[in-house]
Amino acid sequence: MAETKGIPTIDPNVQYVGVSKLRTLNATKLRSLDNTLVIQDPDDKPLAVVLSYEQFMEMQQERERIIATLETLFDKTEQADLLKALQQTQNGKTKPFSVVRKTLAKGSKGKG
Amino acid sequence: MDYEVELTNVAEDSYDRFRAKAQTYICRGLHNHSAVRNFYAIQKALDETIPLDPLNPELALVGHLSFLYILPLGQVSITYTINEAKPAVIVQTIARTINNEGMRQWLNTGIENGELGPLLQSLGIQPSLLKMQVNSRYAH
Repeated sequence: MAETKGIPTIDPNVQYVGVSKLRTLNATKLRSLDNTLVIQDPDDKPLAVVLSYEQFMEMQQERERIIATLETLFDKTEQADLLKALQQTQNGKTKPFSVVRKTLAKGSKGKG
Repeated sequence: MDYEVELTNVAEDSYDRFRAKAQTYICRGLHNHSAVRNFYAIQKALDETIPLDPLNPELALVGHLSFLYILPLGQVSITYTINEAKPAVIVQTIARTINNEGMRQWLNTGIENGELGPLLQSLGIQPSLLKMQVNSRYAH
């Protein structure tokens, strides 16, 4: 859990509100929701979080990109091929796709 | 602006393998075989999708690996980098999409329970939920 000792950090995008706030939320308000709302009970205990659909999708997409990053790192075959390919890029061992296609179409293959 | 597409030797070898495999089925008239569909998807990506819109942020990896882009094409994925100076897209690998449900579950759990926190940190990754500051009295 994020916590800063000394100077407290305030996230301006998170608003802590009471349950009554839920009753004021209609379709228009929800559509233009910029902040994340943390709904609390009268004892300030958080009960639920309201965020926009777009924000949720962004978080979901971010999760997918993190998983893709880790999968790339953990997959031994992909990792080995990728390292080799990056080395080739650094050494200038790349060929235009148009050349690759032409070479293969002719039935012979020369390496760059 | 169109980017020129270049292939590393690794990517070229893979492209050739996918092409040769598709060719055997095309010769037999099996144009709907998955090997043929995969090859056509690769062709289309290299001809159209990648040169026109390579900087799609949805395809970029995160943290220190954010210079890598992965374009998923169903059973196949294309990993590439961008050379803005040329400008060109360098296709690094063309490979079967990683499809390991067990690993995905393990990674998801590890992110949620914080077990993978140190690893994510070392990779320069900070999930947005962890960035959200919460008052300590809410931390139950």
